[in-house]
Amino acid sequence: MACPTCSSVNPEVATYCYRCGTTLRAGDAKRQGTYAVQSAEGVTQFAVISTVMPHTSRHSADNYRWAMILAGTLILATTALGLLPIAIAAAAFLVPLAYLVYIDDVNLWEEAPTAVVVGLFIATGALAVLISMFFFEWVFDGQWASFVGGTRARGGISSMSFSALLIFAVLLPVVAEVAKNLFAVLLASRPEFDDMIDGLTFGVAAGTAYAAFETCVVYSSVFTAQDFRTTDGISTWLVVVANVMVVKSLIYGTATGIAVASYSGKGEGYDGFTPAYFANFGLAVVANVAYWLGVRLLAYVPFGNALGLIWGFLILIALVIKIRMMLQVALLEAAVEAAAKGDGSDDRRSTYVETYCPECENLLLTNASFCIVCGTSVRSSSVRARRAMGMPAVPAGVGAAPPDTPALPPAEEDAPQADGGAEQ
Amino acid sequence: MSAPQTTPPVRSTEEYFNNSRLRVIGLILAATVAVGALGGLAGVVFDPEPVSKDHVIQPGSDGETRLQPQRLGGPGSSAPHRSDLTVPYAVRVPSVSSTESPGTVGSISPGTTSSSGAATGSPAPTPGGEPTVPSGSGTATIEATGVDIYIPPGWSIYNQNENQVYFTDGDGSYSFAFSAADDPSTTAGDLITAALDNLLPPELYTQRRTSDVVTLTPFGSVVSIAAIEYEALWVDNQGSATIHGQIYLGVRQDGTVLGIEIEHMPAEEFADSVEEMYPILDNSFGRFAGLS
Repeated sequence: MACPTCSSVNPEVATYCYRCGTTLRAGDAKRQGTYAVQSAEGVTQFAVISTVMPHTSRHSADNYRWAMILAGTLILATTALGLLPIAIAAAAFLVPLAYLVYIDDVNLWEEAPTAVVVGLFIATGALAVLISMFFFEWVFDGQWASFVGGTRARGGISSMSFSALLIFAVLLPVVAEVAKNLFAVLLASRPEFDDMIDGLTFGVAAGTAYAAFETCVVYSSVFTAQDFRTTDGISTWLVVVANVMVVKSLIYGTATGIAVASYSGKGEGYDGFTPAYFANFGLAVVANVAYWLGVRLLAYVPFGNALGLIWGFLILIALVIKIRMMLQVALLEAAVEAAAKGDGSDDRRSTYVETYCPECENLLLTNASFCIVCGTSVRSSSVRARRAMGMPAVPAGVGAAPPDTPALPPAEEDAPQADGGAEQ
Repeated sequence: MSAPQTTPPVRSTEEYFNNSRLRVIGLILAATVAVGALGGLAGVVFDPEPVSKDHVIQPGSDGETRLQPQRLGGPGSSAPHRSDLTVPYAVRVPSVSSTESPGTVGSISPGTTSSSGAATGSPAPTPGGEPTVPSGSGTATIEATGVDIYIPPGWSIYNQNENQVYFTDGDGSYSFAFSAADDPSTTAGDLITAALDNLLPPELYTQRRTSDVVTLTPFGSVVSIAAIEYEALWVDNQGSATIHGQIYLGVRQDGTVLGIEIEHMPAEEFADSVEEMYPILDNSFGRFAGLS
């Protein structure tokens, strides 16, 4: 059967076009239902793990969900016991640590993950510390103190300083977003990391690292307070720790991920500072500003911290869905463009040999960009899976392929085969 | 056409990843515990020396009379609580649910003392809490009782209403004065105890330590005066801060109550800033007692 989008010939049993991922069954011509990164999920489904860790499979994503649930429960239990220094430190670094494990697990960027990601963490973290010290300790400490001196117990929202609100809910998020983008964009501009998923990964890593180190600075009084353990305000601290652990970290990560992913662009090579990048950078800034404005203003109403947590969660949902829609469009459009350019035999983002889909374990055709059964994009596969597909681990732009990359298939092989099978 | 190359099937998609499920969960849990342990270590290593608690003064003595050092209690509050008190004043101090708009009453009068609640032509607090900056020291009048509050040079009012005035030096020091009418036979110590959770709500001011309520020597028309010192860890979703402060409360023979809270963030800098705040207490309570 011929694909209506790219005209590639697919096996009759195919549900998705192996080249461009278009649905070959009636009812979802634009493929708005299944997420190309993980086909068991919908595009607009709020699924954090598969969004920020796109190289996981349906099964391996569960590993991270369980790990996060267990670690999060442990941290909240520590908070409930009032052991704040332990809880704050662990909460601040939970997502970045899980991300490091993920990058090692999928063996992203071959031998480079440790150096690349740890370097990114440290560099962005150092900037986070400097910027946080500048705002909270060195220059605007008086304005920051106005939030402490003018709480809802001290006259309510009428006691709020407008200039302090602008500094900590507008200026700081703008400066922080620039810092979060800085090293992530630098890495995304390297030819060996030019895939959009690489850009997303760098953005998430930088954003969560910034959040972790900023948290250490702004909650440093927890480490220097008179008491190691507190018995007052446990409910407030539970909300704060949940915010630090999940909402703040992931808002920072996903917002920066959107910006840096658009820097990478959908096709081979990075797009750079295009209008799309600046639009998505603006979106990241708006998300952060909206988050902090909401947190600051809601602090003046009863249950303000809990309401701030809910507000942040709503923003996180929007950011996650934005990433999924962005990746969906990018993967499909890039595949269509690649299909239009040639037969796929020279496409470094598609399979070189028949292999098995990491998601559904059905056969993946030669030169495939998508599984014909579940529709999962091979670009979202782990490096090990890519190797099994005969793809170079480094997606594009670099001359030297890894030494164990299998030999390329013959260039004249231009038609897919299924089930060991017949040419269509 | 050449035959397609096919890689051997994997036994499980887990083979596409470096780590097994148990290893992923174990690594993340172990890393979380390790970082938490580091945080705990930091909490022990950076534990500061307790801030000196001998800052309570005797108002009306020009800040010269320093009282006996007080020891702050443990977490929570060691101050005697009397939850059964039905002091009307206790419900008039700002509560955590207070979201009153700033009043347009009261005023700040640079260099002068106002004897009434009428505005004296000096700048009123601007809407939105932006402080007004007096050129020198002055007073703000609490309209409900006509009590004048001394505002030191360089300090500014950032909020004011019928019963309260809030002012700051913009550098971490804050003061909050409140006044209302009450029963003249009520003791200041009881009022402080009853109002403590309203003034320092435990859900915002965690790790709250308070000294015992210190009964001070009445003077002028003040029939009862007391003070308490506190330290706490303030928290919200954007950060936390240690604060150290004192609450002074006096009852006049006509039943008028004046409370003044002085506070500084961070706690460890309180000792350096408190001298700047003593004139607030001396001048305000001096006028309240009819001595000046």
